[in-house]
This record gives sequence, structure tokens and C-alpha cells, in this order.
Amino acid sequence: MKLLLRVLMIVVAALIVSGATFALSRTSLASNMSGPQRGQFERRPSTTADGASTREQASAPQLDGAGPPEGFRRGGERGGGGLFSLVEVGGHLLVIALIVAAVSFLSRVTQPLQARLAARRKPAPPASTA
Amino acid sequence: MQPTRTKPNRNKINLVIDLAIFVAFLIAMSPHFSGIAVHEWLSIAFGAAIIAHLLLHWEWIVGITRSFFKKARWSARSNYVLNVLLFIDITIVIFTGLMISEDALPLFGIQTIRGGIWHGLHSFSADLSLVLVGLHIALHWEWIVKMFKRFVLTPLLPRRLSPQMQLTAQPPDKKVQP
Repeated sequence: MKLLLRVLMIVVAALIVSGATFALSRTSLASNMSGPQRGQFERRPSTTADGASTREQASAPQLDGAGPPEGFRRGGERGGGGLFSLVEVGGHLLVIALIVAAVSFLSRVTQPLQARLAARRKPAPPASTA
Repeated sequence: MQPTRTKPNRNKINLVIDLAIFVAFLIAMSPHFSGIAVHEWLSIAFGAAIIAHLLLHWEWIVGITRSFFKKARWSARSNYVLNVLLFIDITIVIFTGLMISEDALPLFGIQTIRGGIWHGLHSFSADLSLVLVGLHIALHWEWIVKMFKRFVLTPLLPRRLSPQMQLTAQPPDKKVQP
């Protein structure tokens, strides 16, 4: 029962965050950030005499609010990119390793300072009567 | 006579779950590596694992929440603030991911939103989560190293016995080879 109550509390907290995110996404600021809506831009002519416009249109990003263009997915996202995409995992691991190294270095550098501050906060021992 | 039940080691459970969460996080963060279906389902499971992680540290959460404005140490306070930010960020990542889901939710006939702010918010919060997870690991690095040595390295490495212990470890009838 206690466990269920705790799980419920976590889920409620997550729902509050989700609700707030959803509410914020409905504000005018969010709609400005998301870019122009469907039908807001005038459509380009599909073809020209030399056919250049069609090619441009194919390579240009979609600006009609219908999500990121297919090129954004770099082709490998749907089915998984295999071993070559391990570079992506390695990159994330490297970022985390750099952060850990930087924080460890900083804490090691500031350790004497922290020790000095802690010693200053400690009350002085009572003077010996001897 | 009742069989004696050994209490499971809390640190060991924490280490195993945290390691699994970390591996899942790395894979879920790389949709090009895993593919979109694995990315989505793993992220949903990741949410459940986060709940387990929070339940395992419930006493700490309650303790710091109560003493945050009173007598908590600054290191505990900063850790708490970071963890709250991480919880909010991970929730946003999972929520926005569900909003733009292409495999998981459509499987149940739920139509998801294509476009809008969700893709951008999902990418931004995911990038932020990488930094926050890095800081979270960094703040617990000493514990991770200690537990890794205790539960992974020590059982794997051959036990170094002192010469006296080696002698006592020999069977009594077996002669020591020169």
C-alpha cells in the first residue's frame, strides 16, 4: 500500500510536469517558436521552364509545420543505423565522461578550501585546564 | 527449523538498477543506433526504471525535502535541486517523445502530433538531459567507483592472499612444493 502510494506520488508529479509542458506549448510564445503554421506560406510553383524550382523544392526544408523534413532523420533512424551509429553512443559517453572529469577536477581543486571553511565553522575546542 | 533468509544488499541492487538505467539511457539517446521502435519502447521502459530508482531512494528524497530549508548541507541541497531538474527534464523528454511517437502510440490506435513545437522541445530537453545526467553521475562518482570495486572488480580479480593465509589455506595432508 505504501509502495503504491509512493508510485502514485511520482506519477502525479510527472503528470503535473507534463500538464505544465502541454499548457506552455499552447501559449502564443510556443506557437511562435514552432515556426509558421500550415498554409501560412505561399506555395512555390511546382515546376519552371528549366525544372530548377522542382529540384530546389525537393531539397528545401518543409516550412509548412508538418514536422521535420525527411532529410533530418538522416535515413538511419527508422530501422537503426548499425555499428556506424555507435559513434553517436560514443559521443554521448564522451560528453558524460568530460562532465564527470571536470566536476572531479573542480572538487579536487576546491577540497582544501572546503576543508578550511569546515574547520572555521567548527567551534574551537575548550581550552585545557592543565 | 526455518531457513535463514539473507537480506538483499541494498547497494548491490542500487548499482545493478543504476547501471541498467545508464545503459538504457545511452541507447535511448541514440535513435540512429537503436532504430525508432527500440528508441520509443526503451524510453517508456526507462520511465518505469526511473520510478524504481526513485523508490529505492525514497528515504533520502523525503529527508532532504523536509530539511531543505532547515539544516540540510549545501552539497545535499545542490544534489536535490539537480535531481528535481533532472526529473522535470526526463519527464518532458518522455512526454514530448510520446506526443511525437511514430511506433509506440500508433500501435494502440492513438494518433500523435506531427510537427509543432514538440520535435524541437524533445531534442532540446534530450540534449539537456545529457548534461544533467553527466552532473548526476559526477556527484555520485565516488559511490559508483566504490561499489564497482566492491561488487565487480573484487569478485573478478584473483584474491591476493598473504603468505601466511596461503599456508593455512593448504590442506593439512598436502605437502608444499618447493
